[in-house]
Amino acid sequence: MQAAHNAQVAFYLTGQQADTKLDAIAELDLRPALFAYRRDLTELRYDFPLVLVPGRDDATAVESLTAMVDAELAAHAGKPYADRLRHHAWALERELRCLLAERGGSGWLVMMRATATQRIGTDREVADSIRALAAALPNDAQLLDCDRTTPARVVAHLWAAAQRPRRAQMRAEVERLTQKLADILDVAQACSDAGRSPEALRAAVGTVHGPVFDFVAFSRVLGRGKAAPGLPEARSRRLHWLLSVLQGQRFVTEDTHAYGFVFTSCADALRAWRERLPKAVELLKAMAIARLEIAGEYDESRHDTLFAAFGAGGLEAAELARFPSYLVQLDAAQMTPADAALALEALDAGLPFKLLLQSDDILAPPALGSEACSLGIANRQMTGAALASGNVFVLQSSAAQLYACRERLFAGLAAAGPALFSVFSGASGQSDGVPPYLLAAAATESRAFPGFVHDPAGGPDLASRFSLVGNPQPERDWAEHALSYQDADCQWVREQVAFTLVDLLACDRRFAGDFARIQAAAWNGAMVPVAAAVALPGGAAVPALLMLDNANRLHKVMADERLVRAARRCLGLWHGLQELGGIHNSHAERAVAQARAAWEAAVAQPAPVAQAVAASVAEAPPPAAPASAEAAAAEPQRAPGEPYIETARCSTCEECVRINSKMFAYNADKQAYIADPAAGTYRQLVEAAESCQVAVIHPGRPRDPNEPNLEELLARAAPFL
Amino acid sequence: MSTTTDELLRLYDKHYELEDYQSGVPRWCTGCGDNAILAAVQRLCRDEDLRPEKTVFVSGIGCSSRFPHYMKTYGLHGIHGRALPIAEGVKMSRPELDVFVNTGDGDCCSIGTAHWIHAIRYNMNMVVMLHDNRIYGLTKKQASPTSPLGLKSNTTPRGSYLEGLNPLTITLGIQNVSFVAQAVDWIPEMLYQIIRAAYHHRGLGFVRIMQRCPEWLPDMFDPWIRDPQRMLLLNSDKGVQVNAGLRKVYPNVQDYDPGDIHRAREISSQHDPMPVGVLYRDESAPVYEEVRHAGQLRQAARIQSGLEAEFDKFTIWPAGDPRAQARA
Repeated sequence: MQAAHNAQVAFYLTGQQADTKLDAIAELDLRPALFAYRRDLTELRYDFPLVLVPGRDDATAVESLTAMVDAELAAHAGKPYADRLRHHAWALERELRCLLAERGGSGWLVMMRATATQRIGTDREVADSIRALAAALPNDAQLLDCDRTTPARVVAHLWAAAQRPRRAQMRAEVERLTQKLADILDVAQACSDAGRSPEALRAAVGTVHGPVFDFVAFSRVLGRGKAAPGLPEARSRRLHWLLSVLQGQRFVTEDTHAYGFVFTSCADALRAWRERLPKAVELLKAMAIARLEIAGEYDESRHDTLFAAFGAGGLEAAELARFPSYLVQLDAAQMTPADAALALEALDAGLPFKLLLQSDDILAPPALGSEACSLGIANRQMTGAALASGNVFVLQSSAAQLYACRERLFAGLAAAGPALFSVFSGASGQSDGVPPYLLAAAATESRAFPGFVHDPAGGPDLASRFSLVGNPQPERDWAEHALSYQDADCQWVREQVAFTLVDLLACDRRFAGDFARIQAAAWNGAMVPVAAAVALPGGAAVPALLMLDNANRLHKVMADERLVRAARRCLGLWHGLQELGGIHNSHAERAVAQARAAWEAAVAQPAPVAQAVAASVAEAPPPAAPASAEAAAAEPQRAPGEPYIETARCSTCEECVRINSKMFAYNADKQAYIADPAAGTYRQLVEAAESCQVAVIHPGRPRDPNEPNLEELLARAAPFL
Repeated sequence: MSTTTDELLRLYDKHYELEDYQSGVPRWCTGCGDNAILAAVQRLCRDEDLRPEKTVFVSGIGCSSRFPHYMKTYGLHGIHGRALPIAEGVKMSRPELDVFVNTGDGDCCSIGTAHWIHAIRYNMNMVVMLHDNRIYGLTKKQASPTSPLGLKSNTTPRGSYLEGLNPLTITLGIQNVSFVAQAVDWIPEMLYQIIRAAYHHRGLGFVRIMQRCPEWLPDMFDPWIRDPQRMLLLNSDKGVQVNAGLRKVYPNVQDYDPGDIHRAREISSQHDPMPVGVLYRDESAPVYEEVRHAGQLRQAARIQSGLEAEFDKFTIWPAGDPRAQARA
């Protein structure tokens, strides 16, 4: 037993096999134990195949076949034929999956549905069920399985859906402006001498009723009226220039000259951007001037200088958002460092670029250093730099999660600013028997390619912008699942098994030499699960993982130290992401610990707390006193006996100003006030008070004691004091 | 989404003072409530920076309908009872103009009743001010449909024999009503706020303004003017908010939700206390010009191609004609 253990440790440390009890795994066709029941994906119901639905303008443009079938079945739930429908629906779904697996890639839903239907059966009941389901499965949709082209197609489809409303809006605006400008020119033409000539009139009336008219006489009669002066030369030139720009724009047209917005290299995209920027400025300037011209408000003296300097400082984000954004599809394996630098610069500058960075292989050995695998270094570099820019929408996801995060994908594509989508397609070509979907899902499960989203529009701080999405059990180091198996005595055993990076590496044939199967006879207590071995620093423990063969028999396979080191590194990267996402964040934990210590210290000494409470109570009353003092000060200080009007209640009835327009005047809101109390008699004040409809005039005391009939006036003024 | 360009262009916009909207000296009697309404509307135009060339006042016949003559904007002084259809025509052909309608209790509730019912239902974007002085003033004191029971006038010397109509409950009973408010000309602050709320409302803002006629019915509203307790001010953040100064003079203030049409109908039926404020408001009611808008420009080329496409469905081409193949 000790010899076997020594041989294992030797293999662990050196990767060299010296013992017959350790077998190479290359011929054994093993896969990680947690892949149990997932050998044949066509037997399962899961997110794929995806359905790309045309004509929708939101995230539902990408659907999952399973979800669509389930929704349709739910709509028919409770009906007498629901059971049969479900049976046939699931059979159809399975046949579609098999078809896709055979033909590979994608196809039109309508054609595949026909073939699948034939395979299920041709009796009337099947036909009825298929007809009931037909509403849920649109004819013009595409069916997509998970392979190398999937990320590009999904992102391109969602991008087109996000652009459609924006393009339509701009096109409608341009058309409207063109139409209205053309109308101005048409009217000017019709009122001019040329427009009243017999030829022009004949063309306007047309051929059907032409013979009825005498166009020469017609023109003569019209010409007797005053001819309109016609458009000024400058304005006519401007209108023609506007029309030429609006009709010649290539941003949102549908014809062959339209600009394309999909690129496969950042350098090309930037070149196109630079070329088109002056045209974009010109188009926006033309649209603004056109709006003014149509309203008849363009004033050359004021607006010419304003528009001469238009766009000199470049376009700002709100204006850029009216144009379509640029979709750049990059392949991480073929991207040059220069291209990567250009991409990061474009993202940092806030250009409306939507970059899709697709990796097909994240386990390739790195160019430098002695690490076992690079863990998708190209993606890590790009996403890290984009996160540092702060203004970029970053989404990382494996292809398996694309349906689950389609809402966020769409949000990033529809937003105005730059976006980076880092996707692992799973189609590395290095894993036999593991389809791309499974490999992509395993990459996320094993923390080799975790999912996250950074949305600058989510809020002001990192907590509201950054979130870890699509990761199983994100608060744990590794995702753990229960595995039930029968041991040698046919007893059921249930174990919690963690899915680590080493499980992922076991799927890749390049690392086959780093694994060795331990024969059952040599199993010993020093073998620990990989997760435990990663946590321990030393080399005394032998990491072993559970793997299955074709006959679903369990084997224990050990990995060497190189892979455990890689797993440790992967865990370190995962911890960093966790902290960003607020899980086990060291700063937060330290602050909480400090606060708790302070609170415990405060609780331990009750007397000072009571004093603090008493002090806060004493502070409360004083603020109330200044408030009441302010309210008292708001009343205007008026000399006693001075006449006044409650101006705010004046209803502008003209009574007082008609009596004496010097004493009573209107303010800017056309409500009366006493402009000059000395400009009239007390009698006028009293008469005004009596005739005021809302009784807001207060005559006060008389200024002149010698005015006649003062007693009578004072008596009359009494109710108004 | 305001860009620097929009900001710069706005700098050049002209700002109008209240006097810039005044055209001529009003010929209304001194003490007439129409003066208060004129002042409130001119204040609104100034505060909202309405452009005189984009604003239209439409009226029928009556003292109320002298209004467009005193506003330095576009205006239409139409025939008796037809203010509303004219205003609807203006709105349909030039939906970007701000349309205000000045109509009276005779113009709207008597000869113009048929138009009134359908105008409420169309719910086009405009402000309708019903100057309700409960009498035919311009023609010198005849009873109107809103005159109270027992009013002695030149046509009812022994007192009018029918209960007066309540324009509020009538309007609230029409389908698709979206905004009903009552104002009084002797509380100018509420009058201004209510007209402003009607202006900002999306749809037809119907404001019934109790208006004094000092010449023929000088004492009609005295009980309500003299006793502030008989005025019930409705306070709501979806309608008009009653400020502290008003509360001191008119303490009878109630917090009210203008979203409930049954409550609105109930409260509109009472005369004592007289409710003042926004009684009902529904921003989601469909607006006729938006419902009918095709969403596309009717260009000559588009109309022609549409007609050609329709006619092509019935065209029989001679055999061998290339256009037959093209269609197939």
